[in-house]
Amino acid sequence: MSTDSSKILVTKNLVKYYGTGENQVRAVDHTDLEIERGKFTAIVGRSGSGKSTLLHLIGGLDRPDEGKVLIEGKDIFALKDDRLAAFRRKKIGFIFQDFNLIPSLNVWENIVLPLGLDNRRVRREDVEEVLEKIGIADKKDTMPNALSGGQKQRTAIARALVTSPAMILADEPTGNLDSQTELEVMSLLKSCVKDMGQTLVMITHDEMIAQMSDRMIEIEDGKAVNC
Amino acid sequence: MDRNSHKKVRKYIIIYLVFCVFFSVFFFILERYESVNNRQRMFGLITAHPELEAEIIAAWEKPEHTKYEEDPLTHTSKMEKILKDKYGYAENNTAAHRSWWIFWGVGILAGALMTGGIGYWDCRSREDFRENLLILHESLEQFRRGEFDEIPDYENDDRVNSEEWRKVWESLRELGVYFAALKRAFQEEEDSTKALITDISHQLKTPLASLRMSYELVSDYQLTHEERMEFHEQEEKEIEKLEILLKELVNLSRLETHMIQLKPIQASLRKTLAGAVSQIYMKAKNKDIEIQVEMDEDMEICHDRKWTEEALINVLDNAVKYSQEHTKVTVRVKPLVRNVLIEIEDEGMGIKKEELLRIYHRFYRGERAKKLAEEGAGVGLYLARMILERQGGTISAKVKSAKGTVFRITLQSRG
Repeated sequence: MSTDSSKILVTKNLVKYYGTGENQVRAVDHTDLEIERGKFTAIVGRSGSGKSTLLHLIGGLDRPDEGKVLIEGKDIFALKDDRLAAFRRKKIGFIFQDFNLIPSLNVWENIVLPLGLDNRRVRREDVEEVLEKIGIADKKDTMPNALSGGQKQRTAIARALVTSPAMILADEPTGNLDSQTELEVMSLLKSCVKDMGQTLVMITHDEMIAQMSDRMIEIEDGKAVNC
Repeated sequence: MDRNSHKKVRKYIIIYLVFCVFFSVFFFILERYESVNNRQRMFGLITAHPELEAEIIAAWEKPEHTKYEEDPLTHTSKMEKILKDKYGYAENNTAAHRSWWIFWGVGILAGALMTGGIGYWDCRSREDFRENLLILHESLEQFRRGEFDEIPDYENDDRVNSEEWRKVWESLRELGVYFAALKRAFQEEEDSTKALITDISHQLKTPLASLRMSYELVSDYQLTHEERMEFHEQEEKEIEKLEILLKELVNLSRLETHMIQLKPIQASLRKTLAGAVSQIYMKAKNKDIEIQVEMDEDMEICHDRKWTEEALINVLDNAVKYSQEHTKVTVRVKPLVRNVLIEIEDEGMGIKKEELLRIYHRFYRGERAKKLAEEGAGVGLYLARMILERQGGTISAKVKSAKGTVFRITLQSRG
């Protein structure tokens, strides 16, 4: 299968509807997207415009009603559930608005968790390096409830980076942070794109954040509008 | 079948023949041993019970197949039973030789099946192995031809039947993707240099044309001294503009083509900021714009002094350029945890929301900006963003609800 390698992710005619008849919500409505490798793409749209559903689909967290998602040329929904899950853990790092840290595990354990799930060897030096870069090296043994919002999101970012995924998907990662911490987290995410060549796809409704992106895609009523 | 498989078939035939010989020899010895044993026991019985000699011999020599056809209560059967129960002698006779031969035949046949099976399985797995090696070879050939993106998907290919090969193939695909990205990066670099040259020549054309027009007017027509002076003044302005533009373009092209590498060092932010403000000070004073700097204490942060100053000048210059007279530009510096935030707030014309992303594009100028100030090539913010981002910083603009714009710049406090 030949694909344009500059596009790390391509969606083809993606459809996801919820409900039926009168109450039908067209969360994602025949959307074609292309995400470029090594770039920071912002997906913007009002709340309820279907951007979170879209992120779930391109991250393989949910199956579409119709259409395809190709990651590095690979049709992810052709995979069976268990292989899709393995593929997702290997290729995609997720960052969520509410951090999704496991409260009973400390920072280090939270970060190496995805490696453990795939029986991958935890290379201590590599993880230490990520921690150093993210700036939570001194918080390794801290439990999540003792962390500030910014530190929690840093931990989540470290967790997403540690598997060296092909792409990071972030859903309003600064939504629960104050404006100064937001800037810190954004600066960190940007340097992940710049220094590590990561591909970042971020959902946001914040124009200040969107303008830091290399490319912006606007979602309106489940459809993508390029900017 | 090629030579290789012929060889393999021969190998398995030899293995089988060796097995047959060993099995037969082993069987022969076993059979000899058993029958000698039997006779010994028969003789033992006869010596112990000479009165039963005839019965014992009869039982021994009785053909096996007649055993169950007879009435179980006949004499011979009874005798057999006696022999079995009383002397622990298992029913056997010389006719058992036949079953020995059957055993032997089954053994040889089983050997044949097993050798055949193992041979077949071996051939098949080798076939798979070879198939996979061929795929590897094909892929490497593709790499050599530069077709990095063409590595096919293994997921639905039944030739790849083990997790290990799947991993090899996946790595190969990733390698291909990586090479393709490198190739593309080179291509992009080249394209962007081309685009830069086109853009620059385009930018230089307009002021040069206007200068030429002015020059031609002065030389072609009979003009009064005053008129001539006016044109000269115009020319001087154009030349000044051209000089500024040229400086900007040189900076831009050097940075863009990585002729200039930023060298961030630990240095005083206050000094850099002061340098930037002093560069813009006269321009602000001419418009009676006050530049107010709010900074509690100096900070040593890791930055390239010259180019960070250049970036700050560009943002400050915009703030002054697009503000009305008698207004104020405020610069606030706040330490964050791992960054320093520099806010530059003006009371100027502001930026339209839909323009927020485009203002950082090379040579982009907003419609209103063009109307308000003639000078400027639309390079300032593009350059500022490039300089800041190369040092791990960010820049973003916020449209104020009242009037004006706030630019927020972050720089990493440590390198």
